[in-house]
Amino acid sequence: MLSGLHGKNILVTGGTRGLGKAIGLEFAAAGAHVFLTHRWGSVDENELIAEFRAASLDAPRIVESDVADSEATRELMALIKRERGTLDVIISNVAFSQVVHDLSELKKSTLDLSLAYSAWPLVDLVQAAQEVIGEFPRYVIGISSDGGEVCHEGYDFAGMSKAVLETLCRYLALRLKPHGVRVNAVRPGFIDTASFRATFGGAAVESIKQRVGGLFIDPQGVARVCVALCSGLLDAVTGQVIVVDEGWSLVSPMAFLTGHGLPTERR
Amino acid sequence: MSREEIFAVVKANVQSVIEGARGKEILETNSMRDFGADSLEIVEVVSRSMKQLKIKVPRTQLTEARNLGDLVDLFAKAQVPVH
Repeated sequence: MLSGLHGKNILVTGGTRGLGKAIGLEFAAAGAHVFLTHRWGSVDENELIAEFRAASLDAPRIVESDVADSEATRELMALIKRERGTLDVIISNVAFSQVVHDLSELKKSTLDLSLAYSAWPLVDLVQAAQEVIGEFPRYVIGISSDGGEVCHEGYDFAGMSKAVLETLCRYLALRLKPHGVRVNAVRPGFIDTASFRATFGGAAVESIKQRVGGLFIDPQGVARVCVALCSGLLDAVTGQVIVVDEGWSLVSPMAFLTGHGLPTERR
Repeated sequence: MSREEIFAVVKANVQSVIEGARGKEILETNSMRDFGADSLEIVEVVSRSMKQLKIKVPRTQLTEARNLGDLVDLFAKAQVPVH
């Protein structure tokens, strides 16, 4: 256990499923008090609490809050202040975008909504924490993906949102450094989540798993990197995009085509 | 709030969120897809409307709505009765 996080207060947006939930579990395992947000109706709170209890962890505080709603974010901060007094870590994890099938589906209004859900909350959460709680969190992490750099089929809006998110992380890092805040983006490799399946299709996931063993990484590994970034041991790192993909982004397209030279671990 | 008032809230959000609905007549028989809405815009209209109406409807029920009239019905049912 990293003692630096014991008793600290952590907020993970979109923290009730997939990677967000894995991050919540790891912070709870490090002794932190965890707030997890979700949007209406996306979680069975009892099941989620039972999952934490089964791992011998304190139950998280689950809050329904829409990250694209600035007023709701301020209500969330007021709740955190009321219940815990301070907020030490913000993990901005929510992403919500439209899958694009052809050029006609590229609309400015949809880009605006994608950014409102998937990129801007990073800024709004920090501003709301400062306004309502009266101080900045010590650590801020934006959960990104490689979609801002490479093009995945249908991922246009999500990719644009991730590019903006990473840029915001860099600028926020410098802007908040005088206040002692560390801001980084974590860019995970492929993780088999409901969100991934909704974007790329369940059949694609199963096909990839059969052809390229190990390409889908364990979300716990990504969650542990988030914990490490907030542990105090990595305070020299800020404004960076941390790739957490077990090395898969280094692989040449040729290796995927031929099947030779893939870094699949022999477990 | 009456059914007409609920529809007025939904209609205003359809016009404000969905580009293709601006300046068009919006009827209860219309679906948001009729105006070229994508799923992100549909979620935004529903989310904004529920916030303004101070109601919550489970997602599973929302998927049953075939048009704006169905959505208004769901919202009307979700209102807390005033005695």
